[in-house]
Amino acid sequence: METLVYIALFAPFVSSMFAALFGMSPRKTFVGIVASLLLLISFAASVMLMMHIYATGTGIHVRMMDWISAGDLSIPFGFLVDQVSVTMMVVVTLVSTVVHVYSIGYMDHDKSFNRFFSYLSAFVFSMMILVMSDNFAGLFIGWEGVGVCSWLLIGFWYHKADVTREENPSISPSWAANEAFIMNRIADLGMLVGLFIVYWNVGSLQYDAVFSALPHLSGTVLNAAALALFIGAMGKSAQFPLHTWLTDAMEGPTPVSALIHAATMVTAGVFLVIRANPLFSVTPEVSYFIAALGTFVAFFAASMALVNRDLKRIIAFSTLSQLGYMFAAAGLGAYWIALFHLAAHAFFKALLFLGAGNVMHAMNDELDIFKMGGLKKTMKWTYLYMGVASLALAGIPFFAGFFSKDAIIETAYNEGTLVLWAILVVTAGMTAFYSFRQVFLTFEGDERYKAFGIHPHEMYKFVLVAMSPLGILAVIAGFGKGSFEHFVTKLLPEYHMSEHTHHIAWLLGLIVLAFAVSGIVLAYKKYAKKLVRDEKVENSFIYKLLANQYYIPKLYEEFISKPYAMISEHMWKDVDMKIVDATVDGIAKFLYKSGDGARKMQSGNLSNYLNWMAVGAVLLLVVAAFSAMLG
Amino acid sequence: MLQPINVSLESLNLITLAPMLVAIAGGLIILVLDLINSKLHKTLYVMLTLLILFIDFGAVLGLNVNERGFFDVMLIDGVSIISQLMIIVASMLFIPLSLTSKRFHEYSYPEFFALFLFMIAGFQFMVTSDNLILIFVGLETASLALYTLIALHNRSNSFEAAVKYFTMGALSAGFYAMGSAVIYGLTGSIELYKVAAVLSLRMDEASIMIAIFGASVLLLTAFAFKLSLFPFHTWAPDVYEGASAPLAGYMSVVPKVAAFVVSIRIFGMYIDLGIEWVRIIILVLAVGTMTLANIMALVQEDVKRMLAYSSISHAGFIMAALALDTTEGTTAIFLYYALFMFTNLGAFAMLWISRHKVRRFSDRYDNPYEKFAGLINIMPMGAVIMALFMLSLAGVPPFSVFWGKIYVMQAAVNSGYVWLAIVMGLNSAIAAYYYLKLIVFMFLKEPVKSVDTVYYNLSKPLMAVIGLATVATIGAIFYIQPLISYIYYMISASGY
Amino acid sequence: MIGLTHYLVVSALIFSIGLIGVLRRRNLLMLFFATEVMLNAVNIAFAAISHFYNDLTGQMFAFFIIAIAASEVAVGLGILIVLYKRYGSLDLDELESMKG
Repeated sequence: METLVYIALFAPFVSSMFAALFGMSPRKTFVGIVASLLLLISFAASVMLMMHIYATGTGIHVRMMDWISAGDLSIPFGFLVDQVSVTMMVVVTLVSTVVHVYSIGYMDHDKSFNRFFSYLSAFVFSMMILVMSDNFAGLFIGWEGVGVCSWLLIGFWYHKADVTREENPSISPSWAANEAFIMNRIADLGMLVGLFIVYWNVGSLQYDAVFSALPHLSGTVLNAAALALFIGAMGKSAQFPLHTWLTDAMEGPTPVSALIHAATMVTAGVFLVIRANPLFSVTPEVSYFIAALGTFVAFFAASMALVNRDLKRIIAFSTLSQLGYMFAAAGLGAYWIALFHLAAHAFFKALLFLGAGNVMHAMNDELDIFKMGGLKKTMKWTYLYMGVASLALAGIPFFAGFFSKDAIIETAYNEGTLVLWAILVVTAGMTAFYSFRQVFLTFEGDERYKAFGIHPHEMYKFVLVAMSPLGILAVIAGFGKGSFEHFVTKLLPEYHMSEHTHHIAWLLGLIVLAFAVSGIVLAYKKYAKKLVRDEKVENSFIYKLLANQYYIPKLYEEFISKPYAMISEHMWKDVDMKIVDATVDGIAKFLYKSGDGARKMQSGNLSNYLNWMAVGAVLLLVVAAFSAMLG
Repeated sequence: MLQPINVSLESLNLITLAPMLVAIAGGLIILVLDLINSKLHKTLYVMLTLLILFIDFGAVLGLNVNERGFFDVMLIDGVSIISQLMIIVASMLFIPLSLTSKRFHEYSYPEFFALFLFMIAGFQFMVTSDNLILIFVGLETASLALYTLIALHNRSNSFEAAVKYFTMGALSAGFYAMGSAVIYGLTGSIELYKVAAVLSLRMDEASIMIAIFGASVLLLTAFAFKLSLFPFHTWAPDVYEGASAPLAGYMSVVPKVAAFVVSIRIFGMYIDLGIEWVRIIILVLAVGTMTLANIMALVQEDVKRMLAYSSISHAGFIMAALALDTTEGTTAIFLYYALFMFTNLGAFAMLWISRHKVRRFSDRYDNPYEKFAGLINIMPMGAVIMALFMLSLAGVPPFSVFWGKIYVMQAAVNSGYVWLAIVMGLNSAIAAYYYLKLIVFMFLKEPVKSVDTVYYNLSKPLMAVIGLATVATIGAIFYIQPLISYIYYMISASGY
Repeated sequence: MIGLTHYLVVSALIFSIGLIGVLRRRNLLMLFFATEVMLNAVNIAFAAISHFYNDLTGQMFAFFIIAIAASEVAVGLGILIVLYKRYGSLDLDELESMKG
């Protein structure tokens, strides 16, 4: 079993190194194939591990080596494969494998094809370290690794020139990459603080040691640690107010978006909360804050998605909204439901993105859904995939999203937090509306793209086949709910609905369904036949507010970026140049001068050298005599 | 009646001699092969030398720890085994560097390879004995062979380098011999363990101190020369500049490892005897060396000379670990060299691939900084690898030399020398400047002229060696822990 | 009566003479002679101490020193010859092409 753990972990690493070998050389298809195969191996190993754990019910703990042992700090490099991490592993490797195969087709014409695979696999490897580590330090390493890889991948087309902000809220891929990285760094600071708090008070970063020490800690410490860790999670999972990077990250190649959203990045925050559930269980205030924030983000993101015209951004907002759902569930104590929604969401969200990638491919990278329409004729399969994924996202019964999302909404009711419940229900309706608005605008109605002279075509066959596992899972994943609950609640706390909730569950489900269906119907009415643009609505205040993402990016620009730049400039010109630099220059000059002085010793004359040797011997005698006399 | 002389083969324990005999026999075989057919290709000699080194390596691995042999003059302890292994590994990295795409004078001589093997045998003798005679013989065998190897590079600079090195080496040999004579006069013995036993009995006598003074200063001068410590380092930059680049890289590691082993045996003994001022003068030497070499490296205009000064500074760093005289400190010496070896040889090999027959960039220097300006445009992979080596030498985590530095500093702190660790840290900061200077030249400057032949001398074997060095430099984080435990085990097994 | 001390004093004197020769001489050949003088001074010391202790080790050391001195001369002269061919002089002060 230990070998399987290592195979699952290191296959992506090998894949990354292998692709890196060819990083500088021109496109070679076999690099993509080998990388995909290695990912497939990792996936197979993960599945086998899952079956093993399912059968035995106990996790596998391997300790690879002592990694840091400096003084009292001892951090072993260990890996823990238990019900939670194995679920993550299977989800991550499955989605990643599909994305790898997909990328062979999608990145077909890119000259940095090999480099792309190297980054992609490194991304997966980082995420695997993150989920498999048995301590917070390893998790943090993976956390940072994911950050770096996302920076590399979002900015993959770094050569693209900047555009104005009116045209695109993020001005260029490298800008978006930097934004993502910096936002995450801010949150990582919180994470680090959390780790330090834990380490100071517990003296270890091992999960088991930390969790068993929790009862002995004071409430303040626990709250501080939980809050600081959650701030870290907020960055990675793009929760308000650190959410802007997620939509701007759409600048990266579409497979990267799929990976970030479904498997390797944003889920890390949710994973952290689930992993550290013993900590969050004993800090109800923080947990309630998480739930409230999650609910708010779910609504907030869905509202922005209602009016957006960018195919990928709509999906990105929907991720944001769904992450809100997950946090809501985790905050309310239903950790396993959060994990379940995470897994189900991964499948249909990856599918949506890959479908969007197909559309982009067909439309020459056009993303404005107002310029599409009627694509169902040429892109039957993609339509099917995206339709299924949207149904799942909207929570239509018997698709994957129905089971998980419904459970979350039910939980909100069960906990008596009726306000949260109401918001989540409304959001479910909005979700259905915007996802079908997007589907109908893209695939149904009049063929608006003709005006732009685009000739869409379906994606390669093998790509469509590769997407099929996701399609199937988006349909059937929900039926595994019972056995999944049985599986993960061996580790995670169980969560039961009260008698009362249980009784009216059908009613609650019906309400949600009513909202969802009416959302779809509304979208159908408005967009399926033909795009009619209503000037009055588009000029209304609310529409503008939503379309501009509540002006938050602008706010950040005006109130954070610009003043920061001003302060920086001031510090640079007045403080740094005049004081710091002058001091440093002084030291450097002094060193240089003494270097020039000492250089005279090296006269090149052998006789001088020999004399130096004799002088040295005498000097040694003198020093020895002095120290002997003094000591 | 006289007893007939009777020496049983078993008591000789000839296996302890096997590694050196392999090297010597290998050298002789190469000479004989040349006599039989003088038209053999140099590749054959390279391969043969590699093969002999492999056998030598195996013979060393086969030795048992803590054995004596050959009339008890051979001492196989953990220190001698790891140092021999390091010497052989460095040699194996060095030898393929002779397979350049351009033909160089010295490698066409089979004598080069024979001398090289004799030199290795000399170093091996030096580290496997605590008998002052054998140490001297090994030292001189190796040094004389090395002088010749330097001179074989056949440029006027090489001759000048060889003469400088030779003359100073002869002087240090005189110092060494006189130091041994004083020790012999004091104790009536030249076996270090007997010397220690006698000295420990007579430590109370006042007059003996003066004699120990003389002996240790003479010996320290001799070894400080070998280790290129300030102010005995003056030969090093000139010799490195005059020698071929791979040989310079080799000289910055192997002779120093051997000299460190002997220094551990001799000066470690003094410190163990409680002669505190030996520790103090070693510390003075160490601090002086790392600081002065560093500031002199700052003002160099030639990369090779800069690397020479940097090697001197690294030697000072390691010398400080010697003064600690703890198991951890001694482990640090070998760990540092084991890590430094790959990086430094790699860096010198990068200079070697850009070696031109004539100086193209400067009248005075072979490898001025300008030569590497804009290397990222000319040879991106090479620039990245060279930058990696520089970062590693500067002690940037997680590359190899960082771990060596951190371990040395940790050893210093653990022995209560916090100020020493601080001095080391400051020196690393100064050192970072001149390593980064090269990186700045490579990445941020425009090429000086459109010289397309920076990688003039590149060949497959060179790429292989550089690749290996790169892997060892980057992957240090993965093998550092087992390496430390192995070295630590070997050192503590031999009682240091 | 000539005892150990006398020999050691002589040895020290000769060693110093050799050392001064190494430091002051400008001709490479003379410099080499001076190093030989130093080594031979050590030989005297070894022989005398060996006799004093009635122990053969010192004389063995002396023999090894003689052998090493001989090989040093061989190698040194070899290098000197090529150097002379190239520079046409054995003056130390002309060997200054590398410095700094």
